[in-house]
Amino acid sequence: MPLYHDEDQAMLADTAAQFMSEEGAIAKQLRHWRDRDCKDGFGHALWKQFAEMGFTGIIVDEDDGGMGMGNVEAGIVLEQIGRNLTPSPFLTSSVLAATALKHGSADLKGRYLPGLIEGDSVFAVAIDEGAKHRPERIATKAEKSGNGFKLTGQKDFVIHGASADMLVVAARTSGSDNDADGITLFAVPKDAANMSHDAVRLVDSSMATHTKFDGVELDGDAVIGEVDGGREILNKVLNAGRIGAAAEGCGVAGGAMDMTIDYLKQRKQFGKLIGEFQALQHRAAHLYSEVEIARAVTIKAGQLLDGDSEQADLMVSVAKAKVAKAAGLAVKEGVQMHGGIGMTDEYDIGLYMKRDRALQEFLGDAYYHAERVAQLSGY
Amino acid sequence: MPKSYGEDCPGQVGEVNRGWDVAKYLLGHEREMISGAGGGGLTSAIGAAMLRHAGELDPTLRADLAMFDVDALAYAAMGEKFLDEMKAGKGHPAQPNMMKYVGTELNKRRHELMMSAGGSRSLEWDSEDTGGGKPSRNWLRTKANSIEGGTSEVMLNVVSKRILDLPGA
Repeated sequence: MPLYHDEDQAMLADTAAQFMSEEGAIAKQLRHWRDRDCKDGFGHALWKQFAEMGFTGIIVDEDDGGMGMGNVEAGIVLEQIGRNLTPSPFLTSSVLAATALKHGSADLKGRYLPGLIEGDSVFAVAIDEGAKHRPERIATKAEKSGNGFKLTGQKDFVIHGASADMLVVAARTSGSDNDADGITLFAVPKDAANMSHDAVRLVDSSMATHTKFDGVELDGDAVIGEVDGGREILNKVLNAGRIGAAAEGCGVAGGAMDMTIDYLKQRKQFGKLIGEFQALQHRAAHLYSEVEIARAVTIKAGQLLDGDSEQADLMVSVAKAKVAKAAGLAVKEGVQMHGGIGMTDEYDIGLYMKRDRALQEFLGDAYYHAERVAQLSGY
Repeated sequence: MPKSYGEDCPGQVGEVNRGWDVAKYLLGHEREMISGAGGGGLTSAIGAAMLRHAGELDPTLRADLAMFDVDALAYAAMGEKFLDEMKAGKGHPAQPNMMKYVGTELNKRRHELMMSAGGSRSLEWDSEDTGGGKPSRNWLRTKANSIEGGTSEVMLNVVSKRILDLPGA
């Protein structure tokens, strides 16, 4: 498979680019909701529009009412989301939770997928425990209780946790905290008793929660997949989410870079356009190289993931780490090359820096994924 | 080599007065060959080989190797994309300059890390053990990569002007 978009993918990219630059634009969405202190951090009307565009069920199987596409296609939408800093529950709901639900019972699919596809439901995924992404260790417990389970523990960095109609929760049903086995995924409905959210606004104006499970009673049919068989599904969910976050990061990087290159062509200082200065030209050209490479490896890893390749785990981590570095460079160079106005809220470049920081952390930063690359490579 | 040979003049390559097109194409090839030394698919990652070689790695060296492998594997994907796009006639004509810049800088970094992981053994200049000082000779050779076929600085000039369309001479 060549590492560029085929005709259908190119069409999807055009559609997503036009939609996101109009409906998902920074002034219309991110600034609008941020300036109103929106409790969700995104607009539900836009989410309905995502549904009309066919985006919400993009990776849901056609038999279940979705578009039956893959992570590459979800990544095409996410790159445009990144470019426009469009706040939406797409990554958490349509990529992470939708990937988990692929492994759910017909009953679970019937309960949750129609709402997702229609743009009426929002899902969250509760994985992290503590401030750093360490999914190898899961201490949140789900103990047998009658016909079901009782959930106890705390999850952090749950994006859209308080807005979600359902949370996919990774919990331990057997073994000890660091065991690979003994994990089960649960679909926890928002009105579950003894679940409480401490909602926090993040630097990028998105909303996350510290979510407490204080003996949450769950039916047996809340289990996604098999009891104690959640690790394999969780890994799939993580891979899909990580490559999705990488694709969004490519958009953030591309948006910040284009904005900066444009600025270099407009801003005059010392009687010259600042883009004439070689000191800036070389940095811009270096940045371009890094962003191109980040895009290439993101498409590569997406294709490997969609093709169930054995190399997918490794290359997804390579992509997540590479994008974190490239996008981090794009926003830092962006602010510096904008000069003083780069520090102001009137200019959008700072918003890219904020989003990039949150996205880097989500599902593992460059350090986490470089470490994983070393481990998967055998050193 | 370009397909079109001049019919009237057997020694002519391409069209009259379009020699620069041919020259750029050939230079592009030279650049790709040099940067190709920095690519080469999944074998471009070196961390695992360095561990086998060295027995153990300092944690900070291991971290640098991991970051290098991220860059090397990502660059290998870029190499694949570059070739796919070239075959399909999609790539930017100045993209070989970007590939050359990144590939050669990466190769220099690779050999710096290999020297560090190899320790004093990789300093041996003509011992049989090192195949006649291969590690150190190869390491020194890579320093020319970012000079021959157009320096890294020239590559960055071309990218900034031809691809990014930045102003100035």
